[in-house]
Amino acid sequence: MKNNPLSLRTLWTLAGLALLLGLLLSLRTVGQLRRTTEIWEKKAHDLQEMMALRAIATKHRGILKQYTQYPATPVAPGELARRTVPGLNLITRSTETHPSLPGWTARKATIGLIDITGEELGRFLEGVTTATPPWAILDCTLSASQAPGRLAKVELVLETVERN
Amino acid sequence: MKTPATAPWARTAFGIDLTDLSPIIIKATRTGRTLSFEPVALSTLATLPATPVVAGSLLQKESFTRWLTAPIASAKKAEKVFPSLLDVQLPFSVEDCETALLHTVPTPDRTGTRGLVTGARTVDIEKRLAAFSSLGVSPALLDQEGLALWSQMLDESPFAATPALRIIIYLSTDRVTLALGQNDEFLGAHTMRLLDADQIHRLLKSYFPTPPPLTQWLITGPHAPSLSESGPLLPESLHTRWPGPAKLTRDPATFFARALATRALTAGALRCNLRTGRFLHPALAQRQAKRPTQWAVTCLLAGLVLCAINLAWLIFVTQQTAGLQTIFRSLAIEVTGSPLGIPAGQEVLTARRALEAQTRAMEPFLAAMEAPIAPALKNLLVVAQEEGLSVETLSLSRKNRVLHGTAPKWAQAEATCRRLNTQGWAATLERKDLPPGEDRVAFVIGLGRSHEK
Repeated sequence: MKNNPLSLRTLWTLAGLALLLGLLLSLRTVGQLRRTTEIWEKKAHDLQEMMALRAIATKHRGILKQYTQYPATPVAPGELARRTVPGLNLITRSTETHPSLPGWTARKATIGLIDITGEELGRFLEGVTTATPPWAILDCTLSASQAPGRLAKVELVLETVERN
Repeated sequence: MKTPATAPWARTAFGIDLTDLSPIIIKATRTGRTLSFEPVALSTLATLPATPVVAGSLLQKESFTRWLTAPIASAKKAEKVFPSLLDVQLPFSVEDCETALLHTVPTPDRTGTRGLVTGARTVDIEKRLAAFSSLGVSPALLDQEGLALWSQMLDESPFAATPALRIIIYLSTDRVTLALGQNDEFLGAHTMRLLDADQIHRLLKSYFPTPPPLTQWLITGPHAPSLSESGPLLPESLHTRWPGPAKLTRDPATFFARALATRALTAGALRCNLRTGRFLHPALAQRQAKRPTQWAVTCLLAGLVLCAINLAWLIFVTQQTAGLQTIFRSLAIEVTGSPLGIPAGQEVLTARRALEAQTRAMEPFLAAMEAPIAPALKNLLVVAQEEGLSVETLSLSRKNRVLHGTAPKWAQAEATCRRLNTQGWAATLERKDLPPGEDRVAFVIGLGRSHEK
């Protein structure tokens, strides 16, 4: 390269500008490093949460898919009693419905069982929880009877869902 | 700009000792950190394809070395004063010389600065260059004889014990040069026509009025081997007054040429190049002229690399962030079931809220999936019966799990609690009051879950 003062001056000017720009960019990068680290740590945490949410959503979809394969209308507790414990004294105290997911209705039934043995209760409860669709037992209160091995009464609150 | 005293860019260098008889030329080749040496003929230099690095020297009689002392503690300030001090010491004007400051040290009391200067008159430099030119050689480096002898001695002949006084004597047919120092510190160099014991003695006395107990003598030069064959290395009178071991250097004939080649290729103390100023070798001048451009280019490249690294980082961060954003969005769509209503940056919040709403709406579905109550109920009743409890009421719901009953003894209620606890319940026991006259104990057992089923 010829020793041209003008070109040397230009070269130094460019070098100075490049170094200055590089320095400013480096300062910016270093200054933002902490913030960038914090953002990525938060995103990593958020990603974990999203994966967990996705797992729950997948589980929900699986449950819904299972329910769509059941008959649209659940079997009533009275019918279930007849099937599992023939002759069982069952009183339906109340039934109510409320909307659930779009296309579904939740049905709640409060029933009483009178003078039932522990074994019969077990059979009846197994029947309601394994029905298709199944009934969930929200509440179960039983009172002992004078007669040994028998329960004076059992109050149950059951809930299920039916397709609209 | 400081004149380079070495040629670190070169792999080979040629040291030339111009003796009376014929030039002694040694080629030094650097391989890694080691140097290898071989003698070459003068004609070899002319046949080399590229301009070789040739190191010659000014003889001691053509040059000088001086220690200067300035009463200034700052070395930088003292450097400015040294030329004036040198001018006083020299028998000629320092303006007529080329000089080089080699080394500065504080004075023992730290109030001043001592500096070692070497130099030569320009007329002597011209004469010397002319002598080389007559052989068809143009040395890029012009060393100083005394310094070269001293540094090569330190390099090749380190002594196990540290003597007070070290002297190296170079012997050739046309001159005798001695360089001396104390321990590793160079003190001075002198030259004479022949080996004169008395003159040497007087010289040494000027440095050491009382001879030290140990003086180490090294003899070198083309004439040294023949001297050693004909008798003792040193005159008896000199050796008696300045006793100590005396020996020949390795390859004494080529020692000085080796010194010049070594100093040309390696960095170290006391390196100098008196071919400076208007005498600067064209190749070195060209190298020096390129330096500013090289520095400017280096700085420009450094700046560009710095910019590139930062931009690359910025692009990387942006891409990663965008990639994560895409992942979040697709996960949010998976969770919510729809791409609508998901503001950018709100994916997690939107998904969380959607799932919370969905979970609330799915309670009837999820309740049926919980652990069936029947086995737990059956187990409770069996335990109660086996422990002899009478169950009055048992309530099992999500919020409330309580057993009211009676037992003949309190211990039975406690035993029931313990059994329930081993079966995964967190059972708590409380006593209840009964009407007077009752011989049974009444209790309430609260039933929590010790772990999720």
